[in-house]
Amino acid sequence: MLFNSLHFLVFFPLVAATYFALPGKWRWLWLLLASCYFYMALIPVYILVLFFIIAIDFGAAMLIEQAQGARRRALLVLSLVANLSVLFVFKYAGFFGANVSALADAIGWNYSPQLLALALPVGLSFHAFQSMSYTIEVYHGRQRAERHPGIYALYVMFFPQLVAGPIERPQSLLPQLRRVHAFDEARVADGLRLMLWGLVKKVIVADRVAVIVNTVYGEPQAFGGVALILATYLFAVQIYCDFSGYSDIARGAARVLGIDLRLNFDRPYAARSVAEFWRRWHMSLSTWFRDYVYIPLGGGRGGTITTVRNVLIVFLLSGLWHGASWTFVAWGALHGLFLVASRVTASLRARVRTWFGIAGDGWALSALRWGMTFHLVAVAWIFFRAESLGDAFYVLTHLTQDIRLTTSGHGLGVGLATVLIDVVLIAVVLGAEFVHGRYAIGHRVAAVTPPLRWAMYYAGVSGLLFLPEQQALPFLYFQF
Amino acid sequence: MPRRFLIKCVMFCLPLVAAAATLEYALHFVPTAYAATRHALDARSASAEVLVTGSSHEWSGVNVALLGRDAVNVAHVSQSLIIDGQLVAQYLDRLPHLKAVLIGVAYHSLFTTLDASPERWRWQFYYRNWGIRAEDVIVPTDVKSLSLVALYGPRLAVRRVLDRDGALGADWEATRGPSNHAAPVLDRQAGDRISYHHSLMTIDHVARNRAALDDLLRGLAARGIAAAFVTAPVSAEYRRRERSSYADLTDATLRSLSDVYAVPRCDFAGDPRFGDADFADADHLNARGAEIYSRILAGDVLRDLLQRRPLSCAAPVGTE
Repeated sequence: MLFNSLHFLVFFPLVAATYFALPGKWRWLWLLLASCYFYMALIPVYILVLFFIIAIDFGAAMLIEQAQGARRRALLVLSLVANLSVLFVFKYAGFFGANVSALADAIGWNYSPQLLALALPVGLSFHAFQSMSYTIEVYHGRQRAERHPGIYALYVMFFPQLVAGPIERPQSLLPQLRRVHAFDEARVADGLRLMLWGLVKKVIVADRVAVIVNTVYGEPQAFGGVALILATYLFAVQIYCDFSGYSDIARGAARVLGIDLRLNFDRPYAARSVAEFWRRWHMSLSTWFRDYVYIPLGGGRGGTITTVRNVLIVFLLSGLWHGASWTFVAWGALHGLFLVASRVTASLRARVRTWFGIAGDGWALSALRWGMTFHLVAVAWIFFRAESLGDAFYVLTHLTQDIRLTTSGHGLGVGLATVLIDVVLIAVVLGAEFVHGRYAIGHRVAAVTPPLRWAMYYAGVSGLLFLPEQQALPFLYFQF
Repeated sequence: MPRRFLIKCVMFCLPLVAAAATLEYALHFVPTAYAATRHALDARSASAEVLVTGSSHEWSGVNVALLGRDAVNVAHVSQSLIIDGQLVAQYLDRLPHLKAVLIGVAYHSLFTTLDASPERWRWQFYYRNWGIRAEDVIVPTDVKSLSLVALYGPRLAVRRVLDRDGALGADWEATRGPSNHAAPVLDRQAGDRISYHHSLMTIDHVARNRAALDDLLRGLAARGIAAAFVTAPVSAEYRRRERSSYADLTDATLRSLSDVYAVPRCDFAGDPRFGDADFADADHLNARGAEIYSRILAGDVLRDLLQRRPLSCAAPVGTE
């Protein structure tokens, strides 16, 4: 079920109203049933995949808690292998098969592995990672194994974050799922405001700019440098508003139900280094990789070469997590290389600063760092968005080659007025996000007089109704 | 849940619900492409000589002004053979000069029905304009079939109400792609388009569609009206991805009907006269392609069909 659908507009109020009307002891069951329904609105049979993951990790965690030494480790490995196998079968088998075939072809060996071409269960990477974080935490003794299968199933399936995160940790979510949350009008209103804001970002920014992005990236060879640059900048906006919009809706919906989900985005385009970008972008995934891959590999403790290796491994895996395609691998590799370059040149840059007598970051240096970071991230987005490596390299090499909007007479798919409206909407939304980061705009909205507040709400709802350029699009991160 | 909060929610939603209801009511008086087809049929019932039936391929691909005869295109997006049959049957007695019907049969036609398609909401327009309950199934849970506001979306709905005449043009433009695409895009689209069609196609529908064609052809034969099956051009990549099992079954089915009713078939799907620049997407002609196709239909099909001569574009009946 899409958050930006009529279906959800009916589903969510019904679920929330019934949730608060039910006695506390039945609420977990209601949320679990609602989550099953939410998931089954997409491809019903794939709920069996979820049940499989839940059963494996629920059982494994109980056994891990009782086991010691090598057996404990073996059980963890078994659970991780089961999760990763599910991921491989549904997400990576086709990619693996295609590459094995291509490799065999290249060496003149007529071999093509027969693998099932299965549709990817929505959000599989998210709930598999969330489930794995639970068993890993139990293994390390930082979390007790959950004894209630229903509560554990809800931990994996909690519908607001089921298909696109934030990827929660058991220490945060499990206790909240066990607790009975009383109806709190201020909290509900806060959650609804967050949902409205997320929808605004998704529907009237991300989906609007998607028209130009899809037109240009669908056929980059037909467009000149201006269009390629415009589409690349707009994709940077689209992916942020799409994914952070989803996260806001997820956090808002959970908040209505009395549950706090973690912050997933903190104004990432305000970052002044790629490392800072990753502390602000998709934070629940970055910290997952940090805690469960980077640190166990040794993190930054083993000298430069080990650190470089660990960073590259993490970002290659992160790229692959996003999709079974070389474009995502290249995207991850680029970010890894940016971080490695940053680390390798740190002492050199410090020396240059000392030589020039630059003590701190003045506004000019801050602006330069911000601009460089944004453009490095935007260049990497080219690989994320392009439909093939060939298209990505074409865009990359033609950004400044042919300063025309179009090379073939093709339009951008929208008129100039639409582009101008897009620019205004982007400025308003990103500006509001920036202000919100400093002044907690949500609380300010809550504090204004009711007529003004309602006027703001109606403005938001009217925007959702009348500003979309096309029919509702699924969230980009659903494919992961 | 406290009553005060519920009252606030209701008060907040009330103006939105009232606006939606008003819009819904107003939309029922705005003409649609279906109503335009009905008006064309009604207005020209005394003179129409040719009808063109079919789905989006004929809707976007046949410009009746270029057929050289008084013709009406009754094809529409996702229109099934069953609806084709019901539409023609409804008008057969009211078209005294009708001489020929071009029956559009696309690669997917025999294997799909509107009731099994995601576009089943279109039934409401057949019902509203012709009293046809399109095929068997009405799905009350499909909100698009219940509400025009939900179907168009609020923005388009308001625009249609405010610009009633422009609404018709919008219907036409929305289904006839305006642009030409380069081969790589058409090739990519071909994969998506044919995957979509394959997801809807099943041999379970063949019997019903064949029966609908049988009824249609019997009715035409009884009136002495000539008919021909025509298959509109598709891009080379779409053609390449067609499954031979479906294509063979279509050939066999149409051949069996041809044997009974002497209806020739002209298949332009792989016609080399159409290039990438003639397509709006992988399986729909654009305005330029439609012009070429319509002139071909006029010259290669209609002229001979109306004179009861063998068609140069068709293999002789019974020998295909």
